[in-house]
Order: sequence, then structure tokens, then C-alpha cells
Amino acid sequence: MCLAIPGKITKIEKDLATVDYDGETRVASIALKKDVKIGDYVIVNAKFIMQIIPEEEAKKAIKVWNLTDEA
Amino acid sequence: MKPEQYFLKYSFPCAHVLVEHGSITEEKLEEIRQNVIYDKIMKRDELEFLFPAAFRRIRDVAVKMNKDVWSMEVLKKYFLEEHNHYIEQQEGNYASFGKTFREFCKVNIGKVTAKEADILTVRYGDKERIVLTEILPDVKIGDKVSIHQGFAVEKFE
Repeated sequence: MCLAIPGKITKIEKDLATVDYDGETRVASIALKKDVKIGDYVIVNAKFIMQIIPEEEAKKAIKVWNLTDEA
Repeated sequence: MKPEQYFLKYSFPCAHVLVEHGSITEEKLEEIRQNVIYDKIMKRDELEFLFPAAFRRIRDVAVKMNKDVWSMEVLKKYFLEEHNHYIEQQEGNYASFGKTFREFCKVNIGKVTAKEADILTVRYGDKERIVLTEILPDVKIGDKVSIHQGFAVEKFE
């Protein structure tokens, strides 16, 4: 399934954000989306934050991801 | 361009998603990335195995067109038209995803309005998106390109 998983930003330091995926964290660059803030749900592509997702949409998506395995 | 290369270019953004989802490893993604960048031809059965959801839909398109799954006509019809229809019709898991998501996942064709190092701004309709030139390095301002998620994919004359 071609839908990215949204993660939640828990930390921003200079150009790098820590993004939490249900307990697992990854680091992504904010260079392309400088307006992100802690608490935002985002999609990361190739280690860049590409898109901010409204919280309600993101939470719904995460719920679906946890229920499905289709790729 | 061979059908395998064409398919892989459009699917490459999704490979990142597959890593997030744990269906493929970071090493596999890197291998796929090298294959895209160096125009290597991957085996059809491996591509079908890596991207089962895409192939389920492509098979439907092929049946409707009465053509082979791996014909360029079918692949082009899928990525440039049907793929977005499936998203709009909210087929399968797409149903559970909101508007912002669906927009990000569609393939859109727009014009390059800015380029800075390996980052492009692409405008389509009233929208503007930032994408990477990683798999389409030879583009300039004014070019018409397709974008999929965070990547520019194909240049149109």
C-alpha cells in the first residue's frame, strides 16, 4: 500500500527533527519544511519531512496501519 | 525506457513507505535506489513480490485493456490515470485515509518553478510542492514533470 505512515515530532534541534512512530524514533531533516513544530504529525520521505498531516487524519491513519499488513 | 524501469521509478517513493512498514529492509531500499539511479532492470517477479498492492490494481487495468500486465500502455495508464482514480474511489486501505494523505500519494503533473541543489518546487493547479530530484536529476525551471510523494519521477516534453 502506497501510503506513508505519519510520525509525531518529539524534538527539533537545528535542522533535524526526532520523529516518533509508535515508540520507535527516527531522525529526519526539516530543511524542506521549516515551519514544523513539536507535536506535528508528518510524513517523511528519504529522511526529509515532506508533509504535515492534520492530527485527526494522522491518528486515523496510524490506527489503520496497526490493523493492516498489506503493502 | 523498459517497463521494469518505468514501474520502478514510479514505485520508488512507495519503497520508502515499505521500509517504514517493515515489509522491506533499509538495505533493500538502498539496492532499489541504486537500481533506479543507474537504470538497472529488476526482475519482474521480484517487483511483483515487492509491490503486491500496485500489481493487484495493475492486473485489473490490464484485464480491462485486454493487454499484458507488463506492457508500457498498461503501466502508463495505471500510473498516470488509474492510480489516482483508485485513490479517489478510496479502494482498499485508501478508504481510511484523509484528504492530505490522498493528495500526497497521487501522481500529479506540474511545472518546475524553482530549483535549488537537488530540491524542486513544482506547481500544479493551485498547489505547490517541494520534491527531490534524486531519481530525475536532469530537470530545469519550466520543465513539465510528474511527482509522486516526495519525488519528481518523469519529465514530459
